[in-house]
Amino acid sequence: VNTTELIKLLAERQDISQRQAHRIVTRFFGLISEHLAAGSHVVLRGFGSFNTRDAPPREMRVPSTGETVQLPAARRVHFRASPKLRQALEEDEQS
Amino acid sequence: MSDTVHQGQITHEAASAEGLSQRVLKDAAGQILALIKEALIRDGHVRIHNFGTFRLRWVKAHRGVNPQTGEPVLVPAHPRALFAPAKALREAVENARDQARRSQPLPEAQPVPVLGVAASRLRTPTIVKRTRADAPSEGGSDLPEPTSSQNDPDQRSDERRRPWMALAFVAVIALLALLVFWPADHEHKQVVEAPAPDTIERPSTSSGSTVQPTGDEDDLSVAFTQSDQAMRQVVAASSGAEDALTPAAGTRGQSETAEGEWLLQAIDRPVRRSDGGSGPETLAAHVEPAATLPRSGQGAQTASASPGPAPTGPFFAGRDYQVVWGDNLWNLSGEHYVRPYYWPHIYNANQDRIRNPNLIRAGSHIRLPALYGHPDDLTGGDRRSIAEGYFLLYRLFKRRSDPNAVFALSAVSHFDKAVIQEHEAEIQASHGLEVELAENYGMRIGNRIFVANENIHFPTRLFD
Repeated sequence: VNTTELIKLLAERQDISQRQAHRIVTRFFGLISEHLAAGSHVVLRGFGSFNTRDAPPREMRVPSTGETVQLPAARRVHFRASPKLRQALEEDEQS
Repeated sequence: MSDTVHQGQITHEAASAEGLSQRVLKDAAGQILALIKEALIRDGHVRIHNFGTFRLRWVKAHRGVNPQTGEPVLVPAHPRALFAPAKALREAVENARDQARRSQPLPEAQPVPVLGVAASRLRTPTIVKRTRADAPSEGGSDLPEPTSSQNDPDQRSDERRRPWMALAFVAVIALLALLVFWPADHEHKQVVEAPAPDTIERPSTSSGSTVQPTGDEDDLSVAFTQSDQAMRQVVAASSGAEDALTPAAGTRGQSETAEGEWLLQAIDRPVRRSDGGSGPETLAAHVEPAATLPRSGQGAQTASASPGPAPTGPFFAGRDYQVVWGDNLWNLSGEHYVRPYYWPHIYNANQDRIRNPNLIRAGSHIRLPALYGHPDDLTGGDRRSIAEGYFLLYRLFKRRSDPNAVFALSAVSHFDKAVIQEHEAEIQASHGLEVELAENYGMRIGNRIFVANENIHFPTRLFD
């Protein structure tokens, strides 16, 4: 499923225009992105939480050439599924 | 601004930005998340443009440790939701971090010469400042100057508090260390003592034969480095034989069961096979270049035969599975039931779909049946299904006049003797061959000799 399908489904279920659904979806994820960029911990209840984690710089080896390369420090986005979501996935996969 | 942002705040901001009512956005947000969840279950992946991709991945069954008690547990196979941020989100986060960093050195440089305190003491104020410097950038405006001036008074008060904080910190650490190490030691002793009564009790419970992992399994299994498929079979067989022997042996019980334990431990380890033979566990999936299908996307098929779960919940609740290149029943069993030698459980549940357990085709669909009991403590139903699977294997071997039939049969009796009794006539019909085989192919591994189970009318006497 990609964004287009998600927007279509959302428009159907909420009985709103697709244009509006599109704006809501982009705004919703845009806001989450903004908060994440600001370093906040974003919690979506019953779904999961997004957080950023700072990864220290590290050395890495290029598998093809074998030379060592320095990877710069990075900030990564990390998602953690809520227990509710995890349970839902498990139940559905096994039924 | 608070460090944690909840869904409500996001919908609130979105509502004011879009000029819509909060109710509409609240419902929409809930619906978006529900849709993602559904799609994740159905397709295994959901991609949101400029945000990221949610994916579903199956984690294999594995050994774990209870972080609180340190006690080893078997973690069943389970799905896991993963998220990979899109390039846009990754870059946004990285850029924000770079901006925050660029705005920091100014305020950080000031306090050091003024106060002249040890570097270690300065650690706390710099951290305090970093979070402050982050906060304004959250609002979109970069204002490092005001924050730096605000920081000075704050820091003085911090300075005064520091000796007390350091003392309190040390005290807390000491307390924590006490709490962590004391009970851990205590429990370790308990764990060491526990197995003794357990192994003594075992002989009296006869056929129950639950196998519990012990601490020394690793040392013992080293002896099995060069085991091949035949050895594993024999070991599986012998554990059945040992099971039958123990009640009769009485006082010998403890040493017997201890041996049985390490034998099972050894076969439970996934060992590389060394020959190209047709053992039950060398069930390499047929290689079909065109049919390397993705692992995900099989959740939607409905299950045909899954009885209601036990009150405590099954160890593994069953699942439909699409075979991928390189799969075999032995490994699938190990991944889902921990013990790879439970693979006939899958064979038995897919009799109509798996004609030859040595060959499962990439792209074909099979059902991984539920395992109701813990792998170390199977329920009667589990044992029966595995036994029936081994009996199917016995038939297969019989058809091919493979001498391994003996060991398939003794595995049947190890898991459920009733299955043997049901098929007694069939077994008796070809009894002569078994006797002959057992006499001619008595197995010897190192100094240990293994034979089939007496209950199935094989010679039980050991020979050299």
